[in-house]
Amino acid sequence: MRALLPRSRPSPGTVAGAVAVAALAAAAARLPAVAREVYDSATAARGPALRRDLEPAYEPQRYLLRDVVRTLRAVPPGAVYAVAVGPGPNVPELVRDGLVQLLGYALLPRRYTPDARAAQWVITWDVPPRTLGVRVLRAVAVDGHYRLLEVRR
Amino acid sequence: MTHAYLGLAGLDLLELAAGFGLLHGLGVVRSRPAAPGAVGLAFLTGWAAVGVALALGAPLGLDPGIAATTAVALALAGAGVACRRLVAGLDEPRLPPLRGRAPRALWLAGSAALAAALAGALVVGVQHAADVSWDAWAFWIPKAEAVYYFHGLDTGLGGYLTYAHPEYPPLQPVTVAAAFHFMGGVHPALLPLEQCLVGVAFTGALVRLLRRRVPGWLLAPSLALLVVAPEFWRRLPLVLPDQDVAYLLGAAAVACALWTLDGHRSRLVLAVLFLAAATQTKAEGTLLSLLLAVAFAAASLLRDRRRGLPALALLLGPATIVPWQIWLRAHGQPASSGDYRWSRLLDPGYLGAHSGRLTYAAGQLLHDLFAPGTWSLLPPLVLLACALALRTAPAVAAAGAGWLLVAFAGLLATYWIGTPDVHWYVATSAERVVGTLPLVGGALMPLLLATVLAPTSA
Repeated sequence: MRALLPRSRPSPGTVAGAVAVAALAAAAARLPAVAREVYDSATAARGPALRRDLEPAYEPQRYLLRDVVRTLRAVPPGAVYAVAVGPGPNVPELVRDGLVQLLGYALLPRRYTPDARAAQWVITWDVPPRTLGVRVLRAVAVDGHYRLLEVRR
Repeated sequence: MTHAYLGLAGLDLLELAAGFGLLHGLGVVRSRPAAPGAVGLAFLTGWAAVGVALALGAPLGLDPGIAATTAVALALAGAGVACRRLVAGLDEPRLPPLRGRAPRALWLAGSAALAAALAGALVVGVQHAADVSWDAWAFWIPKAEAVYYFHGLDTGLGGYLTYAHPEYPPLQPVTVAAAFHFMGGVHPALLPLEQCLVGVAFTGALVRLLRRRVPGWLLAPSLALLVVAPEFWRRLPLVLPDQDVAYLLGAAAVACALWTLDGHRSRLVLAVLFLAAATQTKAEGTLLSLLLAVAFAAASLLRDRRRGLPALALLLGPATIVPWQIWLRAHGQPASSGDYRWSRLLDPGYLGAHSGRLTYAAGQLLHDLFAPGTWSLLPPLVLLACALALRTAPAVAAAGAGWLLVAFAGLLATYWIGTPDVHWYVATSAERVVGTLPLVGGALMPLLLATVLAPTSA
């Protein structure tokens, strides 16, 4: 049995060569998937520049892009805003856990405050304005859930 | 949008100039014919150096606007050129030309796969919209916007400290803020292209650093595997800084290993620069940078005794975190993450009571490393290369393998002693942070294998 086994160890060059061949084979096996991704990327529609910059508000929850764009138009740069999200069971998870951060991304240089009474604008999702404890100068209903409230100061 | 692309190109050219100036001063590029082959290394060096300078300047009130960033880049380039007399030119011996069909075929096929993948990465970068990763839009890009709009580390409403993880060092936000200034506005959709350029530069830097040490038939297939590995490829356009930390630590590890092999001062300076940049990018970067500096400094000291003392300079890289921690404390912020406290590692009762976290996290991290759909064959090949090189380049192999082990243990420990629910914690971060290990190992692998072909005393 021992006679069937190689008598000497493989040379360093053989081992390194085997690693290089294995690396190349593994890389080659990945190339079709990489090429497909590049092709899909190259042939995909790019979309308008504003949407590409606001992609986190568009993908995967497309309804938020319209809300964000309307907010950008209504709330002036430099204004202080607060966000209030209702406790209802139908509030999407992303809105419940991430609306504040998403608006922070999209609305700067408007400044976020957690205190609605210190804000010039309050952005609400399924929250009745009367429960906020602020005097509302005007309200803009962007859709059934999302409202922009300008606060009287 | 054309103006935004042109502005970003302007910033990249400035960083390239800073990198070439520094490489000239360090003796790495001393002639025009050598320059084209060093574009990747020069860009990575300039990008890291400008980033470190802006990050260190931010707590002092530096606004990374066009004027300041230009001045920093030109000052770095000028400083490099001015220092050219201090460091002798790097004279690397040439490898013998490739002979035989098999080596040529490996080199050609590996080079073609690598070039095609990098060209594809640039296409992906151009076409990519803004990063939709939660952490990117929840705090990384808003921090950069805050620095851009409020001219530095504003601490008021909506300012830098109002986002998640204020303790993270500021390199990525200030670098992105500088990019926004050059673009003429906040255009996160261009950032994936910039990330892909950094990824391509990293690969080019490895080629430049290793081409005189590693035969092409070994280097090209190894780097091709690294670039097309599913996790590397997926993370190329992401704005999350985990991949940047991995690039910087990978380049630092290669520079450390080359310094251990040939002792040229330029290697040590580049290693310190890349370690500093990784330190300034993310909390994990600070930890892993410190461990890498300690691993290579210890290997040098054990092997060379007093002649290895210059290796202690590597600790300067992670030490650059100190000014940032002073600034955080001055503004009433904790200097470390609230998710874990290192002192808990000294509490056997706590550790025993939370051993379930350790076993769960260990299983997930190992899966994220070794599942074929994550890093392909790279992790086992890296371990094989370390094992083979332990005989032929013991100091380099021990430092590299030691770092991989201790880094894995360090990351695992954060999940063990962490307070967030371990399933959520692992699911939202493990894949990103543990990916640094195979990327750094993949950068070192060709060099380790080359020492198997030509044993050294290192």
